[in-house]
Amino acid sequence: MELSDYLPIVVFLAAGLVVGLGILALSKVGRTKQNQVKGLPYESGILATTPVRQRFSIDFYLTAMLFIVFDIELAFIYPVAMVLRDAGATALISLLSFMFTVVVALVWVWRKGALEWR
Amino acid sequence: MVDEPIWLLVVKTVLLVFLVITFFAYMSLFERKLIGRAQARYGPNRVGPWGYLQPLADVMKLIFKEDFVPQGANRWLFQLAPVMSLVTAITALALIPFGDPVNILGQDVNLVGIDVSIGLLIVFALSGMGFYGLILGGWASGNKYSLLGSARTAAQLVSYEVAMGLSVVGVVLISQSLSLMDIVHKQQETVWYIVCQPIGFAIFVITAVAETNRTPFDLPESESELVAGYMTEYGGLKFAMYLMSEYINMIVVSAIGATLFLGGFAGPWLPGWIWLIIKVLAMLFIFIWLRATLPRLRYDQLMRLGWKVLLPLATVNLIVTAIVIGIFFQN
Repeated sequence: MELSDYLPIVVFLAAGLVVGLGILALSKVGRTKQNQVKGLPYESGILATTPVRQRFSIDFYLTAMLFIVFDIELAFIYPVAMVLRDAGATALISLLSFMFTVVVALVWVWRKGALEWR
Repeated sequence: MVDEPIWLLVVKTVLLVFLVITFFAYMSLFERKLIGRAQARYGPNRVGPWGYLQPLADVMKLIFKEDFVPQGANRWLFQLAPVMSLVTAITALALIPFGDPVNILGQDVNLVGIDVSIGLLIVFALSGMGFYGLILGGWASGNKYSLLGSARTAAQLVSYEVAMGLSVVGVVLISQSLSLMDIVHKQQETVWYIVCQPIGFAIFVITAVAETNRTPFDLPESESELVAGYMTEYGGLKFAMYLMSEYINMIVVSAIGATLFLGGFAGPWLPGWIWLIIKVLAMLFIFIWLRATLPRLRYDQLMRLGWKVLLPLATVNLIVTAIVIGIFFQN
C-alpha cells in the first residue's frame, strides 16, 4: 500500500470540484437585480426585529459532546473488530471490557437525563 | 485491483460522474412521478413524451434564475457551501465497487474507483465532511430559519452517525476487512450479510434515511415550520447543488448498504454491475416509498429514536455479534 494508491480519490475530488465550481459559474448566467428590500432575510414577510445570530438551546451542545464520546468509541472499536477472529480470546475480552465501560457511560448519561430533548 | 494508466482513470471518473448526474436527473423525475401516483395524481407528464424531458426543462429554468445573495449573508461561504456538499458527495462515488476487474479491448479495467484497506472509513469521513456543506450554508445565509435549520442538521446528523457507525461493525467483525471489495468477495464465498446481521441492516437503513435528510427525518429542511431550513435563502443552481448532493448521497449510501449487507455486485447469471444497480434501485425505491408514506417526526422524537432506541440496539447487536464471532468462529 503506497500513497500513490490513493490517486483515484484525488481524481474524483478534482471531478467533483470541476462539476461544483462549473455549476457555480453557470449560476452567474441569470441577470441580477438587487434592491434594498430584496436582500432582507426571509422571515415569512415580517421585518426582522432581533439579530440573526442568537444563542440557541444547550441541548445542541450536549448532543455534540455526546457525539464526540461515542464517535471516539467507534474509532477504537474498528481496529479490534478487524482482528477479532485472528487474535482470539484476548481481543474478545478487551473488546467486551471496553464495551462495558461504554455501556456504563451510556446508562449514566441516560439516567442523568442528558438524552432528553427539552 | 489491477494497474491502470492515468488516462483510463480520468475517463472512468468522468464517465461515472456523468452517468450518476444523469441518473440523478431521472431519479428526481421518477420520484416525482411515484409520489404523484401515491397521491392519486399523475406527476409531471407535459414536457416531452410522458414527461421524460422534465429534468432538462428544470435545468434550463434553474440556469436562468437570478444569482442571488442576501444582504446578511457571508458572500464567500454562502456560495461555496453547496459546492462543498456536492464535492464530497461526488468523491464518495469512488468507493463503490461495481465488479471484479474486466478486460476491455486488451486493457484491464477496475470496475471501482479506488479499493483500499480503509475504504469504509473513507466513506464515513466523506459523509462527515459533507455535513459541513449543509451547516455552513445555513450559518452563512444570515437568516434565522437557516441558522436553526443548520443547528438541527448538525444535531441530527451526528446523532445518527454514531448508530450508523456501530451498525456496520458487525459486518467488519464477520468479514475482517474494511475494504468494500473484500467484503463483497467474502459474501460471495459465504452468504449475504443481511442473513447474519438483520438488525444491523435495519439500523443501517433507518440511519441512512436520517443521514440523507429524507422524510420521515427531514427535520433540517422541514418546509412547513423552518421554510426549508438551511436552504431557505438558496435559489437557482445553488439550490440545485444541494438537491444534487442529497440525491447523490442517497445513491452512495444505497450502494454502500447494498455492498455491505446485500452482497454488492454478487449475484448469479447477470454481470455484477447490473446486480449492483438492481440492488441500489431497490433501496432507492424504499427511500421514495417511505417519503410517500410516513409523516415527519417531531424533533424530540427524532432525538429519542436516535439516542434511546438505535444507539442501544446497535450496541447490543455489536456485543452479541462479537461474542458469537469470538467464541464460535475463531480462525
